[in-house]
Amino acid sequence: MKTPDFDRKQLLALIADVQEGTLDTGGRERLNAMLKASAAARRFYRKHMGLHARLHLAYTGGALLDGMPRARPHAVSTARKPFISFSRSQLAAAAALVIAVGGVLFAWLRHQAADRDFAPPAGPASVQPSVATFATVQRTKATRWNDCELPTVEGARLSEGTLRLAEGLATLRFDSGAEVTMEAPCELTLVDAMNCALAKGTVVAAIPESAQGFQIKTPSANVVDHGTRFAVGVREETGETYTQVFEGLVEVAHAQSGEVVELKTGERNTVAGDRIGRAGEGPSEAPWEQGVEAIDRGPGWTLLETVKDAYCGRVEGHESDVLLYAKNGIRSNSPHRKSYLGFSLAGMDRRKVVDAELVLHFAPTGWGLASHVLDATFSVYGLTGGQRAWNETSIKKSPPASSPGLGGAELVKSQVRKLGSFSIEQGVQRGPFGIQTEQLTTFLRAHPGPDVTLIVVRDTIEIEDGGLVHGFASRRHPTLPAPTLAVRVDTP
Amino acid sequence: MDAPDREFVYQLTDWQNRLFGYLVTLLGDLHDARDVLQETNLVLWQKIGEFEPGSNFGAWARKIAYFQALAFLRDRKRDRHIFDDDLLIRFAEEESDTAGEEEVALALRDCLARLPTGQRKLVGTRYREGGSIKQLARVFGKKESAIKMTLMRIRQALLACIELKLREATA
Repeated sequence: MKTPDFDRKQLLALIADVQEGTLDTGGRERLNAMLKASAAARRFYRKHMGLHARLHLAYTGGALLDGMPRARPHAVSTARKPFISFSRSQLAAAAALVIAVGGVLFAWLRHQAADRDFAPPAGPASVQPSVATFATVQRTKATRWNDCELPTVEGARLSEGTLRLAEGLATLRFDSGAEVTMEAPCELTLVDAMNCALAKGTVVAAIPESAQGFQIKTPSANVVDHGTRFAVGVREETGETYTQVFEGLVEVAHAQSGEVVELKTGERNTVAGDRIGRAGEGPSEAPWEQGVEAIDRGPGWTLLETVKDAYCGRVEGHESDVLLYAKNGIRSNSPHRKSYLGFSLAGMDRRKVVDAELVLHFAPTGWGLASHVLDATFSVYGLTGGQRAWNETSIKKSPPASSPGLGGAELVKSQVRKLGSFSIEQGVQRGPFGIQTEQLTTFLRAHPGPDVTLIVVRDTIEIEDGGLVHGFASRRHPTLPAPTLAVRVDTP
Repeated sequence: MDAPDREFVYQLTDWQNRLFGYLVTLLGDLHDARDVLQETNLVLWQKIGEFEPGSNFGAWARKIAYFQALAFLRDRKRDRHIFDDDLLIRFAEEESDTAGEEEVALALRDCLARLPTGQRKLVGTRYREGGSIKQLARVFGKKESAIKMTLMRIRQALLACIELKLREATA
């Protein structure tokens, strides 16, 4: 094999700097010198930047615009045609057309590029007639759909109709440029490229300049965007509408009276009944839909439910008696939450524990936006022996192994032992999750007393303020099982 | 649409990925490259009268993209240029790799699917959300240097995988 005439490792590091926007002056000079000196280095650079560009295109497909041809015709003559010429007036008209359709053409072309990357090879080549569609299913994450009138696979084109999302997240891109993410459970009716109607649940919208004026109608309000990112939630039972603006300006109009409230960056309001709330800066976890379901666990183990459980880091008005919360906010003063689980292993010969599993039944808390928390990792810690006792009331003010100075998932390391981690995919808010690790077994076996405390924290930080608060059933939950420690003891 | 116009649109569409890659090579920045590609498309559209069906559309489009990139660079401070003029000319003169567009796209798709889940999530977050190294480090709970190194290794692995697949396809 031919040895390259450049320092491959150094060039790789410089290319990574270019790609991540971290190239400094010295790096720039070194890169120029290397590339000038070697044609092979330039080829290497081109190859890496080509992949960088492809990855960008692969993950950011644009909108397909109707009325444009979708595939290459059967045969395109390669014979030379007479030179095309335009009169001055034709050119002026063409220039106007270019300005008018330039952005549209670009978006269409971008989509064609992305479409080609991920679509199977085109079938019989033909120029297809346009169809009355105006949006695309851009991304889906852990989705389950209910009774939908429209296609729901990624890349599907959407016309007027209703989508009902039972689980997960789905992002729709309207041809106007508006991007709307549905957070389950959610029911959204698509009207056209600039209008939709939300009957229940939550949507998060990102609206570029091209879609200013995009409207989301709810039973109680009409939310009109003026170039921004915002979330709208509707409570199905009451029709109440919650709007929260992350960036930009939004107009919320009362559906009956027409009264309008303007919301700016960071503001939110509620429309309920005949009342439209003023713009405020309340807690940024809007109250969204809630639902629970029970999932059984198999037999064969001794099951211990919590004898006490609670969470710390409360926010006025956001409490739950039945769910235990976990949240890691983006700011140091965000409303972080950690949950504490107390189990009693009294009467059990702990030294003979050979296996153990902690099972938590997650359910939607109804607070925060799933769009703002990616796939989340949770860690379970064991409180080591000799720490101060706690009860469900005292924990609000003085949680063990924690202090106000510690961040979202941090604990006093000398007082805890990490026992394992588990992950929950973005958009998933229900189901049993937990750990079954050697560390948990060892911890139980070696614990000095029968009363054991486990602490659950979310390691994953929200990517933006107002992110989802994860929650799992406490021992007070009416339908879901309490946090359960399944323990297997070695019997002769 | 007349046949010449139609061929122009198809050629323009066919060349989008390659023009974008070419501009990313010249400019180093994805968003700058997108802006310049948009300008390039408009200029190409304006110059549709100069297009001769059956001629080398790619060479013509690359030339226009090159001049659009120069115009873009003229308007920004020199200290933000990655390459000096001499190097830009060399990139403009040298042909890019000849592997088929469809083949590379399919190979990339297969290779992405083969990445371990964690790596696929990282690369997806990097390119879908356009997150900076700093943001990715915070979200994934890793050091910035570790994220940068991992992304670099993922890209290397993808390139090796793509090359292997293309070799297999032509063997």
